[in-house]
Amino acid sequence: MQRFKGNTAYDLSNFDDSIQRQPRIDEVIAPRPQIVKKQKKSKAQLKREARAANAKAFRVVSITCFLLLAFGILIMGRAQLTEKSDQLAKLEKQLSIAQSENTRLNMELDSRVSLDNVETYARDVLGMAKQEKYQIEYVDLSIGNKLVLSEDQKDKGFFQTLSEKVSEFLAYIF
Amino acid sequence: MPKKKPTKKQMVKRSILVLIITVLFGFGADVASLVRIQLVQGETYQQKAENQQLSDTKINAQRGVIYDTNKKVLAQSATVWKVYIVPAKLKGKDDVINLIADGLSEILDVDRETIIEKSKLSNQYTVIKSKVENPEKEKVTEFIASHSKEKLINYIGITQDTKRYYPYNDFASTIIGFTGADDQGLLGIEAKYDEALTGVPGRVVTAKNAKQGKMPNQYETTIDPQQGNSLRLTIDQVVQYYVEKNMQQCVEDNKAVSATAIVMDVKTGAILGMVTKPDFDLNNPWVLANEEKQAQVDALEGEERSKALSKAQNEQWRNRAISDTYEPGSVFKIFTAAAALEEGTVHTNDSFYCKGYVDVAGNRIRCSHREGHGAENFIQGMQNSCNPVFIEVAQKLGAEKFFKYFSGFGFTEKTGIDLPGEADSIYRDGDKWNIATISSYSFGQTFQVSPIQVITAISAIANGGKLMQPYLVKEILDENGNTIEKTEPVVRRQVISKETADTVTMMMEAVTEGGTGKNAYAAGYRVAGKTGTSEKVGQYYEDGSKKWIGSFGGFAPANDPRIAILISVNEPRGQSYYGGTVAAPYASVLFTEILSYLNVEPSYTEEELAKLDIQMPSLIGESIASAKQKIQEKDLKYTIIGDGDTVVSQSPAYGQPVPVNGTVILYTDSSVDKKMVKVPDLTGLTVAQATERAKNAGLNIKLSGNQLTQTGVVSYNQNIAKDTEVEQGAVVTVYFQHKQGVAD
Repeated sequence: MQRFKGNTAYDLSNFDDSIQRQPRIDEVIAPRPQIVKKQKKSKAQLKREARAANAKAFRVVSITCFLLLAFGILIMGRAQLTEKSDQLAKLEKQLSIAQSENTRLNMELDSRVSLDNVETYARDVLGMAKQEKYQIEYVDLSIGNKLVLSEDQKDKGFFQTLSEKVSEFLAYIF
Repeated sequence: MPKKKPTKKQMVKRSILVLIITVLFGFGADVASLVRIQLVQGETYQQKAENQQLSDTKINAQRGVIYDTNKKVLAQSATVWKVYIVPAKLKGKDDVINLIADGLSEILDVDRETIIEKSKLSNQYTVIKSKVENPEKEKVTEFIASHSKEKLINYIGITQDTKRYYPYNDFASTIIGFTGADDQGLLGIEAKYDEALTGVPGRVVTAKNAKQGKMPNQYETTIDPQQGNSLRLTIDQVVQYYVEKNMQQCVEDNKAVSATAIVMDVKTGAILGMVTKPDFDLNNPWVLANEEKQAQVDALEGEERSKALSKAQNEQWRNRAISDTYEPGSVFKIFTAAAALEEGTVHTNDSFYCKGYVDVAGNRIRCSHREGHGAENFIQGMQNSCNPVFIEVAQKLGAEKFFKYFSGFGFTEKTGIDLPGEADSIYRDGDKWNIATISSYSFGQTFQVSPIQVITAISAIANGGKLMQPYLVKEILDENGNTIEKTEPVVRRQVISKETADTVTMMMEAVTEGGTGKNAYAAGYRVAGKTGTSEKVGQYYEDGSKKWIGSFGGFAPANDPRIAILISVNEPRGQSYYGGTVAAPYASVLFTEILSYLNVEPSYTEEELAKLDIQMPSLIGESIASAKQKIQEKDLKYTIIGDGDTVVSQSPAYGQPVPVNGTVILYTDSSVDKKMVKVPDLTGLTVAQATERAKNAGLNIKLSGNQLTQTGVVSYNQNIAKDTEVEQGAVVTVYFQHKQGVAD
C-alpha cells in the first residue's frame, strides 16, 4: 500500500477501476475560434445612438448645471442669512443702546421736572400760587335744590301743554 | 515520542492571543488614561479647555422698575458701559500706556496715575470705570478709533453694564433704598424685594485665538439677560412730596435732630407716604448729606475715620419710621381709653378730679398741668391729656385686661411691614405688670414702640377696630407690565368694637377742637387726633436739660376716615418741645393738602365761611365809580392814588387773597411811582394785632393756620421776611398757632 506523509486527504475513488473515469476539463478539446463578420449598423441606428448620446450628455450637463445652481443658491442664501443676522444683531444692539439712552434721558427729565422743582419754578419764576380756599365759590345748599323754569315755559297754558304732550306721545308711537 | 509541531490552526490561535495581550497591555494604559480624562476628570479638563479657548463675559440683567402707586418711575435701570483695559498686552509699551492714561483720565474723569498702575498688572481684564453712560462711551469709542495707528482697540475694551437711576435723588430714599456695586439691593425695598427685582444675567461667549485674543464676531455667542420683575408701591408721589416738604420744614423750624412721618390708608393699611428727615441722595448714598457731619468725618484719619464714616452713613440711611423705637407718651392714651371703654370700666361722662399729681407705689406722678385740671369728665381728661385721669382709668381696668389690649393693638409684635429692619418693641411682659407699670403705661411711658406700630394702631381706631397689616408693595409686575402678584389688605384682628372706636374717635376730635391738639385743626375737615410728648430717658444735652420727642397722631375726616398721620419730632430745640406745638401744626397742613389732593371736599361751618379770604377782583380799566362799587360789594376798603378817571393799576393784583375789610390800593395815573413799604415783623401777635400792624404798614395779611377756628392763636411765621420792601397793599401770609393749652 502506498504511504503518504502529510495531511493531504485521500481520494480513494482514484484507485477504483470499476468506476469509468471521466475526462478532465482540460482534456476536452476547445472549439476552434471562428471569425464573425461585424454587422454594419444602419443609418437609423447610428442616428438613434447619436441622439441617445446627445441626450445623455445633455442630461449630465443639465444635472451638473442644476446642482451648481442649487449649490450657488445655497451659498448665496447662507451668505444673505449671515449678512441679515449680522444686520439684525447690529440693529438689536442699536435698539438696546437707544432704549438705554431713552431711559437715561427720561430719568434726567423726571429729575428736572420733580414736584419740588415744578413748584419752586411756578412760585418763584412764574409768580403762581396754589389754589386757595378764597378762590372757590361756595354754594349754600342747606335750603334745598330749586328748579328754575324759563320764561316761555312759564307762560304755556294747560291746553298748549296737553297738546304738546299728545304730540310727543304720538311721535313716540309712530 | 517526538514533540508535535503545532498545527496551522494552533498557530493562528496563538497569534490572536499575543495580539490581544499586546493590545490590552499596549493600549490599555491609553484607554485607561482616556477614561480617566474623559469620564473622571472630564469636567475639569472641559473647564480648562473652555478657559483657554473661550472668553466668557457676564452681562448683568436689568433690575425691575420701582413705580409709585400711579406708575411714576421711582427707580429704573438702564444699560450703561464698563471700560476696561488688557494689561497683559501693555507690557513694556509705555508710550501706549501714557496715551491710554491721558485719554481715559480726561474722558472718564479717573485719576491718571490709577490708570497707569492698573495697566502695569499682568491680567487680561482690569476695569477702569463702571457705570459709564452713553455720551462718555461714545467719546471712548472715538478715542480708540482716532488712534488706529497705535491699535488701541487691542488694549481698551467696552462691555455692557447696568446702572440704577433714581430720578428724584433724595425722594423717599429711606423707603426705596439703593443697590450695591454688584447691583444687589442693600436697603429698603431694593433689599427686601431683591430676589423679585433681580433678573437672570446674560453672557457673551467668544472664542480666543492662540494669542488669547478674541476671534472674529462669528465665533461670538450672546445669551440675552432677562429683566427682573417690577414693583408698584402704595406710595403716592404727591402725598410723599407733601410729607417730605413739611417734615423738612418741621426739622428746620424746630431745630430738631430728625422728624418722622407716616401717612396710612386707614381702610387697607397701605402706606401712602413715609418720611424720615434728614435723609440722603439715592444716587450718591455713600456721600454724607449733612455737610457738617462730612466735615467732622474728614477731619479724622485712618481707622477712626472709617468707623466714623460708617456710623454716619448708617445713621443717614436709617428709616426711623420702622427701625427706631420711642416712648409714645400721651398719644398712647388713645389706646388706654379704647381698652377701658371696650371693657366698660369707664364711660365718657364719668367724673374725675385732677389735683396736678397722683401718688403711685410711693412715687409721685405729675400731670403736665402742674396746678391740676380740677374736676373733669373722661372726654375733658382726654382733651387736657390729663395723666391722673388715665392712671385711674388704667388701674380700674387692671393689668390682665390692659395687657390684652396692649398686645391686641399690636405693641408686642412686629407689624410685618414689607421693609427690612423693623424694630422690636421694648415692653414688660403682662404677667410682670404691677401698679407702677399699669400707671406709667397708661400715659405711654416706660416702654418703647416704633412709629409704624403706633400708626397701625391709630388706623385701627379709625377703621372701626380692625388692626391691619401695613404694606408698601401693591403689585409685582413682569417684564411686560402684567400683574403677577397683588397684595390684598390683611386684617390681623378685630381689636375693639366699632362702637368703641366711634367713641374714641369722638374723644380724639374733641382734642383737636379744644384740647392739646388744637394746632392740628384743618379748616373744612374734621380731624381726630392726640398729641404726645415724651422724654428720652437718661439722655441730656450738654447744659443738663432733658431731650424730648414731640409727636401727634390722628386721622381725618373724623366722620369718614380716609388717612391717618403720625408725626414724631426727635429732640426739638426750638421755642417748644411739646407735640402740640412741634408736630400738630404740620399735621394740620398735611391733612389739608393731602385730603384736598385726594378730592375730599372740605365742608366749612358758617363761622369758617365768614372768615374766609376774598378773591381780589380785576379793576384795571374800570372807572373810579365802578371800581368803588365793586370793592364795596366785596366788603373791602380802598385808597386811590393819582388824579385819573380810570384804574390803571391795583394792589393786590387780580386773583390775590384779601382779608375781609382789607384795603385795596387803586392807581389812576401811570406816571405816579408805586409806593413801596417795608414789611414789619408780624410774628408773636394775635390775629387782631397782626392785622392792625399790617394795616398801619399799608399791607394786607392773609391768615394761615388756626385763624379760622378760635381766638387765642398767636402768629409764628410770615412768608415775606421782615424789612423786605414790597408794593403798598401787597399781601403777606401770616401763620398762626395756639401757644396756650397745647402743652402735651
